[in-house]
Amino acid sequence: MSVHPGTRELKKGSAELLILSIVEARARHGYDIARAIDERSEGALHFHAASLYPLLYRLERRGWIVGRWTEKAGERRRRLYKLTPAGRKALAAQRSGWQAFVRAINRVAGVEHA
Amino acid sequence: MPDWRALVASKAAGALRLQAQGKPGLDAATETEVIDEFVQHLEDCYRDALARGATETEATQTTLAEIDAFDAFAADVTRFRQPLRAVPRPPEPSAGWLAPIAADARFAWRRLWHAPGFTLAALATLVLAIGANTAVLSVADAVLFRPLPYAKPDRVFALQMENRATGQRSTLIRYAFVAAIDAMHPKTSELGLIEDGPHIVVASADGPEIVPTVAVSASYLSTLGIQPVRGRVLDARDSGSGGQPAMLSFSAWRERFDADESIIGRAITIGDSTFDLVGILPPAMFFPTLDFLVPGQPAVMTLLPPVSADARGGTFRPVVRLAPGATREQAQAAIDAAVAPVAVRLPDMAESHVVLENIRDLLYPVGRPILRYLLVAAALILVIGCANLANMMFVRARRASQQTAVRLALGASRARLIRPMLFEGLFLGLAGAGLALLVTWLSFDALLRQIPRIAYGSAPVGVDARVVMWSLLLGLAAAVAFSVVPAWRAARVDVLALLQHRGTRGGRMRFGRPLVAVQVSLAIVVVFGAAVAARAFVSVLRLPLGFSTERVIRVRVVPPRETVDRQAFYERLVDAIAERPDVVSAAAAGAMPFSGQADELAHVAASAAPVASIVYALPGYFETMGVPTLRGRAFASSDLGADPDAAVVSASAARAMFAGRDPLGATFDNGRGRTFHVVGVVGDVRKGLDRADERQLPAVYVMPGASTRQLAVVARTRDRSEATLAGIKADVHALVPATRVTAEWLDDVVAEQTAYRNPRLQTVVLGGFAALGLVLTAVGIFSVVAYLVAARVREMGVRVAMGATPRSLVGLIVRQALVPVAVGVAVGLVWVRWASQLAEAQLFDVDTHDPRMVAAAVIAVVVAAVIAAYLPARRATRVDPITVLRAE
Repeated sequence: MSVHPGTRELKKGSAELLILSIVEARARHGYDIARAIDERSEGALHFHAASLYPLLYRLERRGWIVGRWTEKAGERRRRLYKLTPAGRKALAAQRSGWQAFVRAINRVAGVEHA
Repeated sequence: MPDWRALVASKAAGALRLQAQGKPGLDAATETEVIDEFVQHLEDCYRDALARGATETEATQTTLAEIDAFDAFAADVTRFRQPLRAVPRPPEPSAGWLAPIAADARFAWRRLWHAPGFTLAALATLVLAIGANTAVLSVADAVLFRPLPYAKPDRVFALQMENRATGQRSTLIRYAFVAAIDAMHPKTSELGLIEDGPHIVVASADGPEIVPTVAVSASYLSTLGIQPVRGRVLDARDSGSGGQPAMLSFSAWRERFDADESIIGRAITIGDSTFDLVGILPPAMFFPTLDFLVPGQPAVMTLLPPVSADARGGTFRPVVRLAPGATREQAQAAIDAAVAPVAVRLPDMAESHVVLENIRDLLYPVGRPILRYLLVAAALILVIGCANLANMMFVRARRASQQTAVRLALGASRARLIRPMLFEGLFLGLAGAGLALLVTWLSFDALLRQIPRIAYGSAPVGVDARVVMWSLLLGLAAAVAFSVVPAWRAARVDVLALLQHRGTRGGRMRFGRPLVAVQVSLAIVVVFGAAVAARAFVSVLRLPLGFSTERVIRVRVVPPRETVDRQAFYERLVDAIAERPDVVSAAAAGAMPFSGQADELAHVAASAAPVASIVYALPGYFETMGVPTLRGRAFASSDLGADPDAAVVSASAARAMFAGRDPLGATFDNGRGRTFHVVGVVGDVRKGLDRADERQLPAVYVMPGASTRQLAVVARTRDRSEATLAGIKADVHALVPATRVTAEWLDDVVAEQTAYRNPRLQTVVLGGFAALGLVLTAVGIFSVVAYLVAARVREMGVRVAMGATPRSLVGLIVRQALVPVAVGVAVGLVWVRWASQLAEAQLFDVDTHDPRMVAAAVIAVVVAAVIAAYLPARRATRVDPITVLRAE
């Protein structure tokens, strides 16, 4: 439902950055990550499960995040994803890259800062 | 919620594991994890959508959108998802048969932990119900069940002399009988004799110390099958050998010789006696016929000197072991045949024969029936308690029936529903038994003080391994009893009805009512038993004794060996004591009331059989004991020298001996050539508290003469002061040094001797049990009625709405609750018939067929039942019909 025209490509390129940012502060499970992205973007960005989990697995395979099943009393077990040190470096690199990219776009497109 | 797992599973089937098509895939474990994670995501998504206010259809659509591109997902996942590192997983259900059982046990534990009210109530019930049994068992086990410490103890018997005329039994047997029985070997393989040996006096800092000894025949220890802890037992080798072969008791060996191994086989000295020590007796040495012979355990065991076959006296307390294969009846028949010719030769033994006696019956003549009676009562309490617990479990299961239905609907097997309840029962049963044991163990000394010593003698009572085992078994049995049926019933719920919130029909509680009936019937039995005991107790209190024990001191002292005139010895003691200012009067006598003994037997010319028992008494006895003189006169001090053959007879003896004639001036003899003439008639003295005691011959009193047996000195004091007791004891000590002197209040002596026939114990214990039974039954009825009221709230609401008054509602509920009570009363009346037979066998001198006692028991239980039903029934009147009907 929430395929916003014009954001599809942007989203795809920036998806990794989004996920790494979401798990930066604390470990979260998959649905939690999707909801956090939803909320912080005020609904503008939404990840379907079918695309979120392959991304998570890819980041995990790269060693940027690590997923671990944890169990809390009275709840079902959840797979929580946590940022690894390597992931932290990657996040920093992607952040500065993204800011440089946004600044460049703004300069070209003539968008003023608010 | 739609079944997202089924949906994902169907989509994922094959899609994630593509090995068949040559592509990389996931192993089964990883696939499960991926699907788990994915399903969770969908479930969260659906729930969130609902929480945001979406309808179920909208939520389903939102969620379905999440898996639109599942095939792409599958392809990506198989590329990226790594096989997982080992993650701790909960144990697989397939890990073995133990895992689900362990899970059920944990579940049961958690359920108990989270319901502390139920758990504490159940534990309290169990501690009371099992504790009653543990407490009785801690005494009863040693008396009733524990094998005696002999080889094949059921083959060992004591021999007793029984007087056919009076029914009196005694372990004292003339040697002629013993020799005759010993001579007829095949039926009794071995016969052992035991006698008290001479006391050894050892001087110590605290004055003379008496070391008790016993003397046994060479076959005594092998007859019992006793194994020594060191050395060997006394046997035939030792008889005839020089010196004084002996064994030491285990405690004497430890305390006097520091358990010195080197003394065995050597000569030892105790006081002025020397023994050749052959071995040490086991610590648990238990003399079957010696219990009241020697105070405390004898320290030294020597051999009896050989007895000549024609010995006239002799009191040997024989034990026999039956020959292998011989029955008790065969052996008894052989003994009868062997002693018959002997009895013919001994005229005063014409009425006597020798009987085999069960050693337990001999050791605990009344302890056994009393304890059996109490055990039955305790068992009934346990059943009542278990009925309560079954009810509690059942009500609890019914409250959780929604949960049960869901678990059943989800595919839980009935075994997994029943097992947690069984585990709950098991935990409660074991914890209850453990606590009951702890309570009994802590309070054991206080409990034991309530029981007259004669009930258990020297039996090794206490909370030991056997009692622990028994109690835990009781706990387990109770657990099974109160959890199996409720668990089974609980698992038989109507799943559909419950899931549709229809509830169950009307809360009829088909389970609770029969339990109430059972409880009521048993409570009636217990209350009845207590009423019987209490009545027996009251009748004992009312029984006129014919004498007074108040402020009377009894002093016992053995005359020194060299005493020539033993009567004169006691006269001197009596005079010395009577001079004390704190003594009103003093005297001495042989066979005291309640001792069940006679000093001699009295004959009159007309009859060969003895007609009365002779009691030795010195002047002043009747005044001191408070026995009234009815005719003629009592003994006077002047009679001692002037008229030594004067006699005083009791009223009943006068009637029996001289029917119709004036007893004053009449004569009788002792069958040994001494003739007495009657100078007075005194009141009857009760011989015991039993009906059987009344079969004893009536008493006549004579002065004993110089060769008297040991007498008891009695003194009536001005008041019951321990200083007087000590003073009298000191006076006697001064007159007779180096001899053991015992001085006791006659009150205490009689209480101790008669306590076992005196149903105070049963009254107190059974009264406690009756209260416990009533309370448990009332709690059971209370909880059933409370449950019924709660389950019928809707009905009550409708009734109130239709104009039922609170009074009529309460009446309705109480009446319905009393239906099972009425059934219980009917069943209880049948039990009572059985219980009264049991009670009559227990020495209670009461009429158990008195309908008033049955009525009292029924009324007590019914009143408790009505109160227990009324209290929760009142809640029905607080039902607000508006609230109830709105909920419909």
